[in-house]
Amino acid sequence: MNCHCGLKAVFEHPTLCKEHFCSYVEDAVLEGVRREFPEALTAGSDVVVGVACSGGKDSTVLLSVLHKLDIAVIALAIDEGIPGYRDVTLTFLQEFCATRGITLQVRVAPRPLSTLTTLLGKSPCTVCGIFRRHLLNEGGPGISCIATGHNLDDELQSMLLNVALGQSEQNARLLPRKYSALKRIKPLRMVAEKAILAYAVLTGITPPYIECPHASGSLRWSIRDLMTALEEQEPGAKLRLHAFLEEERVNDGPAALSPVGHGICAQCGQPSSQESCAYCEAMREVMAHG
Amino acid sequence: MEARIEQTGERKEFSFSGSVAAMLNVLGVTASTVLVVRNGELLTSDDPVGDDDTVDVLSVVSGG
Ligand SMILES: [Zn+2]
Ligand SMILES: [Zn+2]
Repeated sequence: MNCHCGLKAVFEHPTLCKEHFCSYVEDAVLEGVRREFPEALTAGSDVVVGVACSGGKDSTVLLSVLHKLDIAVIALAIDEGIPGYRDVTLTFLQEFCATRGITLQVRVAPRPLSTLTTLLGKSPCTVCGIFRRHLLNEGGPGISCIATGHNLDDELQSMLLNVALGQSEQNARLLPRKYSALKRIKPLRMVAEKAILAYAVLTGITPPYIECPHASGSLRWSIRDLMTALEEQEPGAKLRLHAFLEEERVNDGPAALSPVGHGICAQCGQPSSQESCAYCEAMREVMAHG
Repeated sequence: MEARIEQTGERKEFSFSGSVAAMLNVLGVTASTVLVVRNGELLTSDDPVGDDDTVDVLSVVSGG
């Protein structure tokens, strides 16, 4: 199987050689930045993109490509205190950033995740989400926007999840938008997960293969397996489904993004539908219990 | 040949000669969920593999 240039292909759909495939991914990231945060591409701008890094392949590839494109980046990591998982991914991230001269900032949750879930009586993923969101939204000195590594498969799963839960109007809310003072962008959201892993392999990015111990058994998991089965039976179906939902949410965009009913937390100033946000509520509990 | 399956941590040794697609069939691995790597090189579904080869079967899906 060959690339259009005649060299041996390293990837299928699109069928490209190593050089053309790497350019394809890098161009997609550049296009993503142009679409979602063009300020970052203005020559001489003092924009710094904070990349939300998990130590997994998606956010690490995003960090690497933005850095390669000469966009100023800071790697932001959250340590939620998940033993056997977060410590492993943070070690990888520290080494990755050190060898490339990228600044890494690690925010630590106030208590280990297991303590927080017991204290708050909520599921690990809910609690993790509350703290991650808040700590990332805080940004940091000089950070102009937050980029996350969500890929095409993540986005498709999230959109289908909303459809399945009868809240498809939420799909437009997943689009890049301003979150408190900082805009959230997803430069990889049009790139398939498989292409991101291939890019990682081709450029020598080797994140540890490790899954969050809390990830399995969720509804998202089931949707992911369904998509795999669908794609196996009808190749291209996943992309067509994504394109359909993408168009729908972009058309929905302006209405769904209206600020009505979307307030600000009185304590921290981050977005909240209540007077006090989930993070500030959680922190009150944490403080009350020492 | 030898295949190292990342997702399960298994090492499978078996006699085989044919395409990557056929090898994945033998292994019972869903092609769309993996990438196959030999000596650091990415292989496509039509690439031939044989008894002298050791390949890594990388899982596309992982958390984060
Ligand atoms: Zn080429
Ligand atoms: Zn708050």
